[in-house]
Amino acid sequence: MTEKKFDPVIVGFFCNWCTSAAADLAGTSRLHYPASIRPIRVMCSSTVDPVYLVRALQEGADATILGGCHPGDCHYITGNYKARRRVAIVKTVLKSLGFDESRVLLEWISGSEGPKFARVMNEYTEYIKNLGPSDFKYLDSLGGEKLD
Amino acid sequence: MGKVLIYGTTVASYRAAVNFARSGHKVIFLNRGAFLGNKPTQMQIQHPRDIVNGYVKNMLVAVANMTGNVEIYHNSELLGIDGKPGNFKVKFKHKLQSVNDLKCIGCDLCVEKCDAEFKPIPGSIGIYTIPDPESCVDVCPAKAIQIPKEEEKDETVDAVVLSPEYQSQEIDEKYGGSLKNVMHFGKFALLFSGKGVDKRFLKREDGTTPKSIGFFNPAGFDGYLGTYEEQFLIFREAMFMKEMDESLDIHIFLKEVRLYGHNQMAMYDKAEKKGIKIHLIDDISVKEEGDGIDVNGVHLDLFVVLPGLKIPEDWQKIAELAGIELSNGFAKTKPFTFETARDGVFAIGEFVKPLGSAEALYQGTAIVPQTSKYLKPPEMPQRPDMKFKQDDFNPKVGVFICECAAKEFDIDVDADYVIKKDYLCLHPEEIVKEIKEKGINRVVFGACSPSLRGAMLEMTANKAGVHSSYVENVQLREYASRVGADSRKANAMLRAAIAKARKDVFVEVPTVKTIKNIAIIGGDLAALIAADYLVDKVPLVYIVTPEFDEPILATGVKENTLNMGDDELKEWYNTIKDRVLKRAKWIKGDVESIEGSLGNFKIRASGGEIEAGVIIIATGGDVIGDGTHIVSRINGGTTMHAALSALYAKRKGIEATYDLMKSYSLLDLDPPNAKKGVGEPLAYVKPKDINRKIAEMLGMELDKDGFFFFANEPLHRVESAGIQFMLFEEPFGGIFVAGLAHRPMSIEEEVEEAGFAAQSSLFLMRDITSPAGKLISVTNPRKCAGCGICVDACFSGARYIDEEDHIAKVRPAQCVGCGACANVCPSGAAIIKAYSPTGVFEMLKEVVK
Repeated sequence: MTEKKFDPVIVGFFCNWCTSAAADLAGTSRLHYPASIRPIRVMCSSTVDPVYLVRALQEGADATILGGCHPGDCHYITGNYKARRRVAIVKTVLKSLGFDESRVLLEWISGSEGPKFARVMNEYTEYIKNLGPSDFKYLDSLGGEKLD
Repeated sequence: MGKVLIYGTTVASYRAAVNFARSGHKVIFLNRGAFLGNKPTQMQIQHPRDIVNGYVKNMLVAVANMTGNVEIYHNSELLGIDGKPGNFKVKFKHKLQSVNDLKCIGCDLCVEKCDAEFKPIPGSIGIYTIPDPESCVDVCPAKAIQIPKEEEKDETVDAVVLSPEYQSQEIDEKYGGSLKNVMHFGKFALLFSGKGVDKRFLKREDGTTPKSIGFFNPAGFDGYLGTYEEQFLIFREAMFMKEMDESLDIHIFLKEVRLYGHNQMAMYDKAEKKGIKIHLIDDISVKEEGDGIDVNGVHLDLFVVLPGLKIPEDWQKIAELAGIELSNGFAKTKPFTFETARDGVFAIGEFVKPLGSAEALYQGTAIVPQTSKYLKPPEMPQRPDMKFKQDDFNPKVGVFICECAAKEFDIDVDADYVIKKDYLCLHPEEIVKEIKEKGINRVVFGACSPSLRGAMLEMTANKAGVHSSYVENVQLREYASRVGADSRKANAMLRAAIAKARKDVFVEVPTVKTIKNIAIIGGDLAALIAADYLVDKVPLVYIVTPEFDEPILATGVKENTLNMGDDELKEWYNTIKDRVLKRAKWIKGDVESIEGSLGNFKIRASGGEIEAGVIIIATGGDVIGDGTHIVSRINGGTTMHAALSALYAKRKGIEATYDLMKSYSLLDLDPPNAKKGVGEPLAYVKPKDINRKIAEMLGMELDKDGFFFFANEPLHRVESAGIQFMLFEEPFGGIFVAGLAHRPMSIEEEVEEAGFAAQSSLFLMRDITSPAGKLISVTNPRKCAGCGICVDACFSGARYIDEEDHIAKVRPAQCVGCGACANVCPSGAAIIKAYSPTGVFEMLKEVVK
């Protein structure tokens, strides 16, 4: 059996006004980052139900990123604070289930921070690569994939 | 339609251009830089992180594309203005960009074939510069390449608005400009991460993390001008740092504290409470000491300086060319207007006085009413009536792949139709044809970002009869091909969008019929000014007040106001009052009850009931003290204004002292006859008692002195958090606050706020389609328990509990589609259909492959 290189999949929920704009800027600036990032554009970081984060892990993602505006800069005034609270809870729940809480990342990246976006994506992918594949998807009771 | 020329790129001028274009006037926008944003606005220099920077500029581009009312000239220079208002001949020269950035689609062909240089710009395609455009014209598929030559141009316009920018300042040598470990505030602000500047990135030159930080703003020193905003930024950032790491030793050095308005002076107290040391200094000495910085005997590891602003030399020349006068380096305007001594030539923004961004946005809106007397009647474009087919159950997915975004990918997706084309955005008619011929009812675009060309693709699908709720956009270019992704990622993203498209349901975007009358509550000067502008624009303006306030004298800060005699002021006031009362309907009496929301307010007053679409609150204030003067300074719960007090004193020849100066105006140039010390106010403004009653009726909040926060609760955070919301009208919920009801202010500011409220209400005088679009929130009545959690979560006041049905309902005119309600709802009754779990779960299944 040949050893397969671990190529993680990271689902990113990025808010429309800041982090998606930063992703656009990273794109127009031709800043390369790993293909493992799968961006999904949402209106606000508070649009993202915590269930979506867990579901992404369950469907086979190795990690999820939630990207929003900096505190105080939210287009919807308080959306990012709400997201922050929710992520804290998701992390607690994951931890209490025995999973690595660092597989959920909350990051503030504003629309003018394209280079920061690329940097965060690079660093986090590297981190997840070292961490290895997530075993969350094998959690059968949650309806995940069957372990062979 | 009227035609206005706007010169300069400031927050105020960007805003003015947007507002003129939206109200149906033509705008000639002269940008002195090579592209928009090249000449930075004050905000860009001082606080580059703020998203307002991107908003003001991108909104102009969006409005220019949408209305076609804006012509932008780059590299331009004003040469002269001849003629009279209504018929100005403006001569200017300009140079074309080698690539027209409004036409450019960012395909990169010119980079490959003509060695174009590329500069990325947030929120836009970026700027391409071609060294030899002549030989390259045919390369561009979008025909954006043009030959840049300088040319002179004449334009005939009705009015001219001047708004040249400040120059950016380096840190002065005196404040440690060349020393190590002295940092520009702009650079510091960009290191922000999480809840303050992240210590991981905040490094001194030797790589260590600072343990003590000093902030400094030179306002008041050596002719540096200051605004309240500079200090606000310093206080905010300092507090963020302290909150993040309490062990940090933080010092703020200022000559005077210039925080004004409400809740801003509160920052001073809050900062002190948090243990930030505030030094009010008369002189400053910055020198290197050991491996740190010594500022007035305080040892610091890092010294952050927000340079003040200085009047640029070219303003003099601009004034000469425009034939206007300057005073103290600023454009001289007629009392209480933006109009210069030359009729029809207006000045706004930094050109008039040092101001913060909030004021700049007020001015950018209030300029429309002020120029209206010179402008020809506006022409509003008719929106085409579109018919959409609704079919939730038989998805027929058409995937349109733009080769520009996906040429290196091996696209392999399963959809009813996969159509590949070169440059989708250049051939909208072909997309429409394909959709109609093939009967496609779900469209997935694999192209570029909605902030670039993607939005236009969605409109193309709309034209073919496919509703936005059936359109998905995959940003293959920005998210995949430009960032080095592989086919696996591209396919996963496309498949996810297709899976979601199959589950998409039709979302009806409701339109709210609004009542086209406006009610102004209160008899402040702001009420009269707003009414004066509105009376001939809307069918009926009501003014609900038992009486009108006397004009409160000596409140102006600018020199010309001070020079205006009391009699003159009274005459000006009475002319406005007579003019307004002839046409507006004055309801003598206090408001008894207010019901309803944006578009449909019902107000009971003095026995009768009136209906209005928008409410402007201008209740004014009572002056206590000697009754002739407004002062604003928050000190032990009383609102005063020390700087104005001092000015008043100067005018009356009284010796006065001041302590916490909150001036932000020309006072800096010509200090009044006042000493620094612990000052006593001569008089101050007390808000009207009726504020409390009105606030209760509308569910708004008052500050501790009894002034209104200027938008619906909890929008008062706008004042402490950001000002982005002033760019949109809907989030105000149809309630604007103007004048002394909001805070103590000068007559000039009253005029600005009244103009802002008036013009913003006019934008709401149409039937309002929900600003959320397809993201509008809906309630499932069978699941809703009426708990009201969503009402608390909604920041824009769009959700309420219906008293009859006892379930939560949505006010479509106010919903902005953030999804906060859907997320907090414990029973799954509040939904954003476009982001419902059904679609998102399908999407997640595919996206991880």
